[in-house]
Formats: sequence, C-alpha cells, structure tokens
Amino acid sequence: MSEFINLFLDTLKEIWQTSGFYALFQGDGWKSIVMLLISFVFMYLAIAKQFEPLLLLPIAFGMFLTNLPIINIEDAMYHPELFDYVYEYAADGSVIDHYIDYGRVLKEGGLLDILYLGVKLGIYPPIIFLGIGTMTDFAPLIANPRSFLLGAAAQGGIFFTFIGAAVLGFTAAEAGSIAIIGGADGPTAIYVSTKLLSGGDFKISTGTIALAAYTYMALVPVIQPPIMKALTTKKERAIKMATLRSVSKTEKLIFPVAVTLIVALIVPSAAPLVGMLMLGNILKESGVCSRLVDTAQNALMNIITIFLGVSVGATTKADKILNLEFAKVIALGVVAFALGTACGLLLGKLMCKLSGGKINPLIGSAGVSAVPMAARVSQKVGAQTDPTNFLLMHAMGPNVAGVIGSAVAAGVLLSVIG
Amino acid sequence: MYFDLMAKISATEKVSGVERVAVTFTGIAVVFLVLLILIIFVGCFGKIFDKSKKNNSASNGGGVSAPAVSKPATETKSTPMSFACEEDEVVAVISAVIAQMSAADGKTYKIKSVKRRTTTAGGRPIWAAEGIRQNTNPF
Repeated sequence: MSEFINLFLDTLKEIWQTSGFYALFQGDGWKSIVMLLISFVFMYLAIAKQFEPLLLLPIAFGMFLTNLPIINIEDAMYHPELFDYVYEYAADGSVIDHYIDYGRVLKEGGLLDILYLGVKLGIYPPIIFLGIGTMTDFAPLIANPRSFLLGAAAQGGIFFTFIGAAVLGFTAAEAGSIAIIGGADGPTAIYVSTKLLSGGDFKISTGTIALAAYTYMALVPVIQPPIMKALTTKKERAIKMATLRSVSKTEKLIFPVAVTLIVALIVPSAAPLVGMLMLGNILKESGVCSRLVDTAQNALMNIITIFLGVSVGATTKADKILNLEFAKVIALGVVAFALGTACGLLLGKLMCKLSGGKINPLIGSAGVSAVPMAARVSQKVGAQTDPTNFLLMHAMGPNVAGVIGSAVAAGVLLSVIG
Repeated sequence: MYFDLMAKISATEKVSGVERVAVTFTGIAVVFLVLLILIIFVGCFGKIFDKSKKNNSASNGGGVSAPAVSKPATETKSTPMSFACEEDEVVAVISAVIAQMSAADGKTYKIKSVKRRTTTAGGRPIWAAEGIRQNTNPF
C-alpha cells in the first residue's frame, strides 16, 4: 500500500515539477510573470482602448505564448537559440564568417520559429509596404509637392536619436535600430533592425525595437498633441489652407515609377521598401489589376500582419527583454518620436512664415509616417482651435511623404552601417 | 553617392563623436536631397499637366475644331438635371416642414419663394462644412 502511495505521490511531484506553474516560481520565473502581465496590458490596450489592435493584439498574444514557461524545450514554439550565429574560424582563430543555420531552424524549429523566418529574412516588411501602397493615395502629395520637405524634416528625429543612442553606449547597429523608431513606421523599423542586428550578437533584438515602435505608433494621439500645441501659436493652428488642385490619372501613374527610379538609384538599400510600396500603388492607380489590389490590401496584408505580429511578439522572451537596455530603448524611442514631430513642426512654421501664412504648421507633425494616424492628429488639433478648419487632406501629403522619407532614411542607415 | 564620402561604420563597434555627427548630417542631407529631387520632378510634371489641361480647356472653349469627346458631354448634360432634382427635393422638404408647422400652430402659411442663402462656414457652404465635420469627427 505504502509503495502505491509513494508511486502516486512521486508521479504527482513529477507532473508538478515539469509543469509551467512550477517553472514560474523558480529562478528567473518572475521575469516570465512580468512579461505575461505586460502581454495582458497590451491585450487590454488593443481590445478596450483599440490602440492599433490589428498589430498590437497579435504581438501581445505572441508575447504571451513565448513567455509561458515550458520545461521541455522541444515543446516550445519559439527557440531563440536557433537564431544564434554559427561562427567559422580561420586557423589563426580569426572569424571568417558567421551565419544563422536556417536548416537547423527548419528541422528543429517550432511554429513561431518558422513564422519568424519571414522577419529574419526581411520578407514581411516589404510585403506590408505592398499592401500599404495599394491603400495609399498620393494625390495630396502630388498636388502639393512641398509636402515632401515636411516628410524629410520629420526624419530628423531618426538621426538626432542616433546621436543620443550612441552617447548612451550602444553600438552603431544598435543605435541605428533604435533611431529608426523615430520614423514611426513599424515595417521599416523591423526591416532595418533585422538587417543591422544580423551582423553579430547584440544587447537588443528586433523584438525590442518592434515592441517600442508599435507601442509609440499606437500612442501617437497621446504623444504628439502636447508638442504640437507647445510649438505653435493659436493663430498658426487656425490657418486655413487653400483647396488642393485635382491630380490627373497620368500623374498618379508616373509618380510611383518616378519615385522608385529616383530613390532606388540614389539609395539602393531603400529599394525593397520603396519598390514594393510603389508596386502596390501602381497596381491601384492602373485600374486594371483590381484582383491583385484586392488581394494585396486585404488577404495578403492580413495574413502577413498576423504572422509578423505573432512572431515579433514571440521574440520578446523575458530574459531578452527585461534588462536595462530595454528601458533605454523605450526612453530613446519616445525621444525619437518627439524629435521627429518637433522637426516637422518647426519646418512647418518656417514654411508658414515664408509662404506668408498660407501653410498651417500643424501638418508638419504628420511627416512622421504613422499613416494615417499622424494626419488624423493634425486634423484633430486643428479642429480643436477652429472646428471649421479641415487639415486632413493637407496633412496626408506630409504623412505619405514621411513613409517615403523614412524608407530613404532606412536606406541611409543600412548603407552607412555595415 | 555618399559611399565615396563616408566609409562604413562597423556595426559591432561603438560610434565615435565624429561618426555620430557625420551619420546625422549625412542622413539628413541625403533624405532632403532625395526628396528635393522628387519635389522638383513632381512640381515640373504637375506644371506640364496643368498647362496641357489649360490648353485643352482653352481650345475647347474657343471652339477651334475641338475633338468631340462623348464622356464629358454626357457629364455636363447630366449635372444640371441632377442638380434640379436635388433642388426639387429640397423645396419638397421645406414645404413639408412648413405644412407640419402649420398643422401644429393652426396658422396657414404660404410659400412665396425659396431662395438659397449663401451662409458659409469657413468659406464652405454650411451643409458641405457640416458633412466634412461629420466625416472627420471620429478622429
């Protein structure tokens, strides 16, 4: 009888010790608890507050899945160690080459490892840009090409943050990855950080960057208005802009080809992002590829968004995220956003002065990509000053210029940091 | 183009003071340069298209052997008709409201004329302004 009881108790003990509940309270298990709580907060923000729910919810659930403590490593859905670099050494001990063993990932990887390949190989962000291209109307930008300047100015946040990150002791690749958060463009941030952080082992990961970028993108309506109000006068915010001219179909067709040509020839590293954005746009503007447009902006975009969100969320393993570097990234991310907004606004003010008060400086803040959230914020802040002031279409110009500008800035970072 | 101006910075090493400033200014300069080229290009072809549009409309207006285009012709014909329909509907709605008022207070009203008031809000007709306000309000 006692043998039976012992066997029974040993079995129960075995089950308890191999369970995730046991692991939660062992060693660094508290970190998993913290990450699980953060994932619940993100789920709440996505569902109850509707902060970028299409992305935030898959990211939050990916974070939830990856931080569930699993004792048997083979049962895990994501194995960060599979993405560690394999180094090849010469006879003198110097490194000849380093690479990720993708064969091993395919052989031993879990579901999320396989989905993460799309991030690691830089496939998802350009496909998302294809979908964005099919949904973007560049007419406000073509009608008022000066908007490009505001889109360029807002990229100042990226480069000034690069200085800040470098001062805080980050390496060039890490500083570039943190700085790109200022572009307020999730796919671009993932694309750049994946490429830059593939050069070795770093203190931060693509997951950290993506998490910060999407969190701040969701918080654009909270971060931008105080800066906009602080840097503009009530008189400036009330400026009404002249109606934009109508743009012909031929202009809309020439635009994507011209932008791709110019950007790809000057900054080739930006070609995958800008090229796919403009491919999506020409499919839309051509009017003859409605089936492709429908797929790109609906089914394909949704599939990639789910894969991207879940796999990026999965990279936020507690031991990789909960460190001082993550806190620094979060702090620098908000600085990057604020600086980008301020740079756009300040150039907007200058253009307002030079044009004799014809340009409302509020549209400058929309230069920080985040389409169409940033343009909506410009509209909202303008309407708060004068309810009859409609800045939305005017702000869409700098907003889509910001997408092109951040892709060019990404290309610059990828070219300069090797 | 900046490849010649600046050597690549090692990804795994910390960034020196000179490199920080160089990356920042190179980055801003290249972004502005690319977008300035786009401004010039888009501005130029915008002007060319505007000019050709004006030329077309001038030649159509002058009646100098303008090619007959069927589509715009139907558009110009249909516009006043639909506008007239809308006007009739507006008059019907106003009449119905006045009839309702008449039934409510027992007095008889006579509609002598219906004139459009040019009330504007921010340079727009009041209903157009209200429509835009409603469409942009949820943001």
